[in-house]
Amino acid sequence: MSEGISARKMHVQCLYLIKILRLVWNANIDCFKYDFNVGSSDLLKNNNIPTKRTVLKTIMTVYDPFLIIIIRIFRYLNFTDIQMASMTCCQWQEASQYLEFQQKRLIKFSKTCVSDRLAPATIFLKSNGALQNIYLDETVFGTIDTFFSQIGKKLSTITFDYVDLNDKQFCGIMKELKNLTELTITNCSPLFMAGQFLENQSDRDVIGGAMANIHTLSLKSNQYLSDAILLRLASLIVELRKIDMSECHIAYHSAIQRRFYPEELANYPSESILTFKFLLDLIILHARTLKSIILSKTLIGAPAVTALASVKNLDLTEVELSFCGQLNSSGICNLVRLQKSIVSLDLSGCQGVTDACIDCIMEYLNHIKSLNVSGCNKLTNRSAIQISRIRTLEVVNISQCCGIISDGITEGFGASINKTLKELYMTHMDIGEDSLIDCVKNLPNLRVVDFSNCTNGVTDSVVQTIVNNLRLLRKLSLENCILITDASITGIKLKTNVSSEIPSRASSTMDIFHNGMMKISLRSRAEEEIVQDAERKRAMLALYELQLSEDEGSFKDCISIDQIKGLQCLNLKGCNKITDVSLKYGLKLLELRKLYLSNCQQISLVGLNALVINCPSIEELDLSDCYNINDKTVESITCNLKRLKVLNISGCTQLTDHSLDSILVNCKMLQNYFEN
Amino acid sequence: MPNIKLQSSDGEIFDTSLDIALCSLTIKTMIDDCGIDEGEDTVVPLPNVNSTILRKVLTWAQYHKDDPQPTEDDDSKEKRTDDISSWDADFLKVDQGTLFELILAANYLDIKGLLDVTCKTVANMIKGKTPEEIRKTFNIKNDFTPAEEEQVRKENEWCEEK
Repeated sequence: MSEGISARKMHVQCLYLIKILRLVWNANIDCFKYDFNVGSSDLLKNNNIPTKRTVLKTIMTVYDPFLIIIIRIFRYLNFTDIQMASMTCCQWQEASQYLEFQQKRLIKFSKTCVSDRLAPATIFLKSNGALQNIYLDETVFGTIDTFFSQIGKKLSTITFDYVDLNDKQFCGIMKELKNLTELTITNCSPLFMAGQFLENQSDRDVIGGAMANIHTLSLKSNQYLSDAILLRLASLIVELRKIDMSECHIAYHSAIQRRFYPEELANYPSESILTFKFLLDLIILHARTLKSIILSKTLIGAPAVTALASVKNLDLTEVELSFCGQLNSSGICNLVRLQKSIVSLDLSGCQGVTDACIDCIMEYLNHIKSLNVSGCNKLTNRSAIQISRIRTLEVVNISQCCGIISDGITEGFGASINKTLKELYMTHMDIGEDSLIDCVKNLPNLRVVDFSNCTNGVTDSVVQTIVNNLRLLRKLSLENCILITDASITGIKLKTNVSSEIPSRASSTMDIFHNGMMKISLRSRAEEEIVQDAERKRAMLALYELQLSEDEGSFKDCISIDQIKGLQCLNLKGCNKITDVSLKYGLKLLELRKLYLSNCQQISLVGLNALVINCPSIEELDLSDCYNINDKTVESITCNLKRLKVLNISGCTQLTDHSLDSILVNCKMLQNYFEN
Repeated sequence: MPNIKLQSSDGEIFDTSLDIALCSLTIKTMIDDCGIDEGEDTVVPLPNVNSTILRKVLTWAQYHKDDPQPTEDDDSKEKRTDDISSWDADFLKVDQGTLFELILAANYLDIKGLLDVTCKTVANMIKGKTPEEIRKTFNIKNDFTPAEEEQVRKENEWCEEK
């Protein structure tokens, strides 16, 4: 059955009564057809002739509505939830193998040996799933013939990061990857050092088949690349769509060009230098398909950018030129004028970006969705206003633009409702409270807000405005916003003034001292402070609890951060006024996956005990320099947070070996932990 | 709007207003193809839905009959589960058996709105849970062999989100 069928035209005839699950009845010839969705089924991928088994399997899914329903439910789950669900039973595991979920899954071998005889590679030799993506990070290789020949055919992306591999190993791996679409080789200088990479025609023939389908090539951060190497690699690629050459040593200057390419040798690519001229030739060759160019952290200047943007038939949608110090305003304007289809533009850290560039972007880039100009110090309030008027933008990063102050935000994002913007990054800026409130109120559809290090502007009112208005938020970052207190997170405002309450606690300690019950303290000053902190916090907690029990009604009116039901990432590093109160009454977030509480010294067992119950999805928890964390706390964390992958407890001086024991015993998922 | 008669798998006849029944694309297709005329006493058989579930489905459809027809381009759309209306949330406070029967019925009857909201409700019940807790919630039998379970667990250990 399988061999005779022309893959693209295959319709499976089934007997079925009505139209259901994409099954269509053709009344004229009285036959039923089921059209496979080629995009989402691995059945017909890349012109493969399907085997009998895959055809039968796909047909069975038509008859098993339950599997389709499970897949539908899985679409609403995040990566880890799907992983957990896949471990419940065979059918759910099968659903998790569906291509759509596999594409978001990455096998990462980190600092390990990849060998046919050793775990982890052996685990995947037994796997029945179609692995799509593999990431090799500082791995070494044993015998790997079986591993790559078995899983290689299905792989669509591979990354070599800091892998010390040679030509022969590279070709040995690559020849098996017949369906590879993305190749990333980063920080692998040894591979190119000898300059003989792919020098043999036979090597190129061997990997030629594998390279033919590649459309994304990243050679980020490699030294020793040369024109000759790039040519040998790129000549195997038929249709290049994206190229990343950031942090590579590309020579842009024409003087260097002349020195390495005297006229008699002009047609031979140099073995010793990588020139922009050559890269440009490659771009010209692939102009019709190339959509994305990344040349961040290189010395690209205005002439080169202009030459690039002028390439005939080139119609880019994504350009990243972050930290290109040589780039000036006119170069950027030329790029924008000539490449009007740009959707995503990253100019972060380019000091050449001026208000004139932003004017150009506004005038020419009618489809732009993402703009990153963080750290562009020349931008003024005028740019902030202009950017807010670009109504196609979904992602804006104006972090560290010290020329933009309160007025720019008030008259920009604060001036009118914008329902398109989804992500806003404004870190390290000197913006007032009122401007931030105006801005938040006008951007109701924000998914990501980063106000980190806006130390003076972010107050409890700002955070409460965020909680009240941005119910779709996924990620909130308020690092080092030292003004915010528990009132931000819980919405509960203390009726009694806390500060007036604390001295009274302190004086009670003094009473004890005067009554002669206190021994002379041998503690260091730091310890003394910790004790005082603990006292203060206990007083606060007591106050909150008192108020809550007194006044249940007012508690209901408070808007706590748990109203943002979909919040997945919360960064409160260095917000040291946050106490156990927030953890106990505020953070009840089912979907929270990452929580950063570094330097929040007032949190302790009481808060974390509540947190681990209320936020069961936490995968990454940063408690570094939280001095009040003890072994009991770590035990509670490790027992209850079943999904914990990263735990940072460095600088928690109270911890002993008992903490390590509980981590070892309880944490099955843990990948990284940091401790002092 | 004329009425239409729907027959559940256990034989009960539901006399329903046509605009409610048309929430179901399956019924709509049947009516379009068979050409049911007004006033005609035709009964549409629904052999995959029992009367308890069909009654619930019709209650849902009655409340949502004026909703705009959801479009199919939802693959690119962000998948959220925190946007269930309070009426739907109350409506779906049922045992998990009924919930899954509702999903199957919504799937069979091709009512996208109901299918979406029921799937979201189930997704919310999965979030944050361990495999064991999920099995308990939905009464799922662990049918892995110990070796298979170990295999799945080990694979997951080496995988992360792309």
